[in-house]
Amino acid sequence: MTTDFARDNSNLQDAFYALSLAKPAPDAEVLDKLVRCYPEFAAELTDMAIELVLDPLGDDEVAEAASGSSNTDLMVLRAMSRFQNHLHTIKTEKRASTTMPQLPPTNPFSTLGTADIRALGQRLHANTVFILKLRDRVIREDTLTPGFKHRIADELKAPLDVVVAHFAGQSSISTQAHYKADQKPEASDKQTFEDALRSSGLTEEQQKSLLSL
Amino acid sequence: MALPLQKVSRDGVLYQRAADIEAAIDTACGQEIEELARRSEIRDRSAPDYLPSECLVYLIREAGRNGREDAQNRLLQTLLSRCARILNAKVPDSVIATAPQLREDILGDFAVLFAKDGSVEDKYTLDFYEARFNLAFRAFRISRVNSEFKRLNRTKALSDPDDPDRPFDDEVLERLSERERAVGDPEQLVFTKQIRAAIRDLPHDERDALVLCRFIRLKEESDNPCERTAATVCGVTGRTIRNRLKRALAKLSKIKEVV
Repeated sequence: MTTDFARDNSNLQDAFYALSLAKPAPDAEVLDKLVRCYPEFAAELTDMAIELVLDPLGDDEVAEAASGSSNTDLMVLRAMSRFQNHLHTIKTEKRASTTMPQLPPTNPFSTLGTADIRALGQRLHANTVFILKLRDRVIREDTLTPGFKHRIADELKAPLDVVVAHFAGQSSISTQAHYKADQKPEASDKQTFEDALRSSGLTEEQQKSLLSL
Repeated sequence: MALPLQKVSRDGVLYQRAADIEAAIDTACGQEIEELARRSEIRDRSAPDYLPSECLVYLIREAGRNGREDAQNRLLQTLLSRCARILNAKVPDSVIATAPQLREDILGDFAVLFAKDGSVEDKYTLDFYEARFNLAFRAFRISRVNSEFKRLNRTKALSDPDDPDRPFDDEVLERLSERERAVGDPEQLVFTKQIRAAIRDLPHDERDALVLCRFIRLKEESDNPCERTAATVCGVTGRTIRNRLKRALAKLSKIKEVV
């Protein structure tokens, strides 16, 4: 079974945590407040509020104090194994990134022609301007949602770490870009994901759809 | 003194630990790992040496930040045991066909949060767990269970429309709220569990109408088109909401006869 939670939009996870922490059993006031804070997740928050109402918290405390079983021990061992494997991968990647010479990151968009860029824009329910921002690393990597990065990796058939490294690299002006000045223009400061969406001529609906990935 | 939390809500409020958690962390920070491991095994919440889960999360993260792998592993293992027991109780085999695998996946995903803690992808998620552990873990669990339900495409048939004009029988819900207030009443737990189980078994449209109107206390409908009501949330008319409520309450009133 594949697990999707880690891939979910981190903003959605934050909204769920915020709702759950606001009050053990949410009421209309709390729900309204959270929906105003996260209007893009109104439906998800309402579903979660219904589940929270039907999920009495006291049971967790009783269960936590209950005696364990071999089944529990096995679950814990497997979870610890996943923790160790993940930690090992992170440490190995960190070590590799500090010992490797600092080459510019591979640009997974570099093989895309004009038609490919347009097609990618359509598949993402975006436009060419926005895709060019992705190609030229104009958007700050830490503001992109995990779900969005996964989607780009899937679309480009590139490993996720390559996509993440690309976005984390310095913004650039593509060698294929045309400009009127005598000298090649310098890349400007990076934009946040939300700013990039707003300034790419996308509709509200398109912006919401991309933010919710 | 414990490092302050960094997570900020979208409306700009910094998440904070409760004062008793801050105090528990201060005490625990001065103790050796052997003592902390002993304390982490205590399950009685009223015991003076009991280590709250929020405090355990802090200690595990702190050990990770300082490269103390042995302490990190030992304390994480105990915390995961607590979570495994919660999962066994809250995601029983009777709820979903894939429950055993789902429980393992949830616990594994939760453990991975500690591996990713502080990374670019996941800087401060665990702050939620230091603020209110059980509430945060509940959101994590419910979200994963819901995803699994969606994956399995579990749906319930919509109920048939009916006459909305009969008055509601709210007695069961009144008794539920009365008993929920009566903390310590041994009958309360049985009754509450029966009612909640019955609400869960309702068709989703009836369940949603009931919870939204009678528990979350949204209005059934409103003349103000900007107001969020059960009708606007469910995308139906107020009349349909009343229909669904009526059917839900009729089903629940059968429990009244049993209890």
